[in-house]
Amino acid sequence: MFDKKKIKDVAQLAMIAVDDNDLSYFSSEISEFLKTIEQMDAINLSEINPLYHAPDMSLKGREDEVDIDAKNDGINCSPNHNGKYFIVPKVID
Amino acid sequence: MDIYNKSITELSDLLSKKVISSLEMTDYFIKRIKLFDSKLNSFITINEDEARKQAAFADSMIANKKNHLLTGIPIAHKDLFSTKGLLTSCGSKMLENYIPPYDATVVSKLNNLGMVNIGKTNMDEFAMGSSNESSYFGPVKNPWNLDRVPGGSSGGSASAVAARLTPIATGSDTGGSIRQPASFCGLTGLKPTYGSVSRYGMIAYASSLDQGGPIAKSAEDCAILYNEIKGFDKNDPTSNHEVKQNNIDLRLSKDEVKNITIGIPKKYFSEGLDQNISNVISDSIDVFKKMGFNFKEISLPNHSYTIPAYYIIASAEASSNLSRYDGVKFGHRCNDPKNLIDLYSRTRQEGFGKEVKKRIMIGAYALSSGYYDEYYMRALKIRRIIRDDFLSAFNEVDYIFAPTSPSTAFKIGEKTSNATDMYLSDIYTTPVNLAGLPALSIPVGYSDNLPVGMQIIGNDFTEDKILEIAHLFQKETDWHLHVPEAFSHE
Repeated sequence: MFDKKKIKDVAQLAMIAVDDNDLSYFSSEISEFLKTIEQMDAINLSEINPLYHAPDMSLKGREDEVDIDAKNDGINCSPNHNGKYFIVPKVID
Repeated sequence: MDIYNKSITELSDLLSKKVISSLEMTDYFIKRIKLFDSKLNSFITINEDEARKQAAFADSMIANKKNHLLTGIPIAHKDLFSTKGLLTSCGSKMLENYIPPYDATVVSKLNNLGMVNIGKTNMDEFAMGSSNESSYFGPVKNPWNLDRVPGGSSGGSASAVAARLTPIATGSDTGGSIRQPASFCGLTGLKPTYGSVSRYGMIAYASSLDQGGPIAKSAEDCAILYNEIKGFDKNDPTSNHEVKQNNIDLRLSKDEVKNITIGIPKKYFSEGLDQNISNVISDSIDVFKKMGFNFKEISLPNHSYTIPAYYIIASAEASSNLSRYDGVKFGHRCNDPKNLIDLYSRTRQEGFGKEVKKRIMIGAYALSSGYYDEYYMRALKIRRIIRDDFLSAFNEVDYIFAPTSPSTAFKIGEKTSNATDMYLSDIYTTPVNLAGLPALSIPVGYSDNLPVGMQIIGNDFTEDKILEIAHLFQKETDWHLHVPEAFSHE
């Protein structure tokens, strides 16, 4: 059973604040979901390799090049910035 | 001029012969959006001013004979394709004010051809849903019956094309989000092979499953758009070099048909499928048989494990992808955060809807220490056997036919209180995403006056052939030309 304490732990892991109504809702929804996926236990997978991408492929890299225009445009998307840096609450007192 | 039901080729012909200008065509479809969309809620943004500028530019391309088949044709983009300078909300409060500084590769490719972006379509929040009911901007209605859902997550795109508010639209398909709404709305929708269409600028849900593609009236229209959006993109590390570069010409001959064998997975037609849908699909298979295709029963024995594996993998990837929404770099930020943790956690509480939060939490749990092997690793192993089942089947047959959805469009609100039931509506589409294969949903008839869709599934990079097979069927039938009555007038 996914009780309210466990939901609080997982919500903290997911970095999502939850109130009391949320706890009941997610407790019931996630418990139901975990019941649905119990059938995965019925199959023997000991000899099977995991498949991360289909078709199988290796990820490709590209040159690490600075794009000054994109950076400037990007910072303008921030809800709080000074044109050069993102502004966040004080981290160290 | 009665142009709402014309194909891309017909519209292009009207433009190149100067029977109508792109500006007039754009105004025509924007007028239809303004006339009809209050009933549907299929658009989040109408891009009227910029669309008219793009149309005027397209007209100059046509005048200078620098036009392509798609030049001047209006298109609507699902609201997860980044559009420079234009709201891209992903159906979420988190991004309700987000104006991207760049275009997605799909968008820039089509802009460069002179297509006209008439607006951004509604969708389930962060593409998580099968009914378009999880959008922050409200549910979308199905043009065939306004009490019913259009499917999801590309429900806005499907509803808009079905009501002929746009000639064509883009969608994205993580677990069926192009094919299931295409099926519910009587349309043709292509989910390409993973890696065929660039994901650059497509807001991520589950990166190993997401794939963009067209939602259109016909296989021919899908082929025209797919020809232009496919291809390797250096900006997408999962873009695949093997995608075919040739244009799809839809010239499958009747002699070739006699050499094609279609597989019918027995289990798909025996467990949980609405009997009326089964009958409609059987009738359409008879049409294919008369055309000369061969059929053979096949087995996809591990089909029943698909839904658990899909929802674990998709949720795990979502929990990772959506960690970027923290109130710092872009998107919503909560008021007066006390500290950094408060900023992150309250921003995410306020910015995400319930379904998104649930999937993030499921994903965080499945990836956490002690549960990783039990859930995530098992799901990845099941993914392997599901792909192997398909590859074994393709040793016996060339393509596979399957239902797109176990039901027709359900009522708005019918499944919102039963998530398991909602998830099961993806049972025939999610295996294709796990296996990375291409699949097309085409309309094949009706059940209780609601459209029924059927999938044509192919091996990797066989989009050309599955589109050709669908095109041959659409030359023999007219299901794809039907327009919902309430929208079949000017």
